Amino acid sequence: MQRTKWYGRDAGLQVRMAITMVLLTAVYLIFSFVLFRFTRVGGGFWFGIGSNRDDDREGGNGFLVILLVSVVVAFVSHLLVMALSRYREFAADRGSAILTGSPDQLASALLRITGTMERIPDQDLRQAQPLSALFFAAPKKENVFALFSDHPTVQKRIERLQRLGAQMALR
Amino acid sequence: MSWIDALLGRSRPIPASLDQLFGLSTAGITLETEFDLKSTGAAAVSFRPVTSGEFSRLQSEIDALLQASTRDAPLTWTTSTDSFGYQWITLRSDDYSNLITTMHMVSRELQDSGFGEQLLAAIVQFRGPDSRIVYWLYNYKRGTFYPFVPAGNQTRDNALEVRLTGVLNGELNVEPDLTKWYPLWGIPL
Repeated sequence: MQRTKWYGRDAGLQVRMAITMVLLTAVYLIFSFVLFRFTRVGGGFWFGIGSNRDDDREGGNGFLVILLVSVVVAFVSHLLVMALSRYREFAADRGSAILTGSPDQLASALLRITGTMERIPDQDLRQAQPLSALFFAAPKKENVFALFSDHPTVQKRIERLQRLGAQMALR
Repeated sequence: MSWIDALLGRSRPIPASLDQLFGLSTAGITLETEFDLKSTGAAAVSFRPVTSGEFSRLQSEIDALLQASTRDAPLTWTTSTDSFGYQWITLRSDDYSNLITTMHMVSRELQDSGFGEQLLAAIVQFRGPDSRIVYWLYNYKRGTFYPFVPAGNQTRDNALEVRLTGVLNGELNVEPDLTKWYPLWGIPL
């Protein structure tokens, strides 16, 4: 009798990704906290000590630099957390596909759940086209805002599943 | 297209390039390897009706054009009108790349003759292993491709259609907006 681990090979990866996400979020929170503290002019907890005198002007430059750095780090860590969240979703898809052995069915299920297929029309093109003034609008491509999303698009998920299906078929 | 447009995902509404049709040549190979779809040798160009005088002139021009091209490979063509009143030029050839080239040529001729606005769609027909018919449509106005798999009784196999686009994203400019995948019922192919 073969004993198989119930959590599968990818469990270690999942744990590591979760830890990374927590750390990144912690970094993000710390820097956001620092940011918050610095915007409270003169009232910040850390710099209340000894800045009651005219040294404020010199200290001001230091404040600004650290402020800027905090902004950048907070922004970058936010993007990284989003990217990791998307990666986790792809990894989960991949894990399920390998476990079930049928990425095609997973793709179909995904389409059905998200109601993607229902958007495909049945109306004939010859009826639709003359009526639609918006027909000439150029199709919207993926833009920079996709970086800020914590979910990959359904289209991308299907694409990956199909690629996985092709790879699995080759073996 | 400026960098702002690239960032926001906007593309300028330039008239769709007919040369995109040539993408079907390589796409045909991918469709055969991935889905075992083979061209039936039939393709068509459809356009909104023009006046009968214009149409007969157009027809003789295209006839002359096609006469010249068929010296290399046998190709037959017919013209017809459908129930909506749209006109069709149906092409048949065993040589797939000749079929695509001719389809492009006919589209070009229509556009150059001033009927670019009337062009509706270009269609190529494929047959799958279970003898199911698959069409690939090209919408001239939007400059995008999408599949159409009729499943009898005015229904479509949406699942297969979405699967078909998965492998072709790099090769063809597939229509990303699923609500624009309008079918064409009763194609004279």
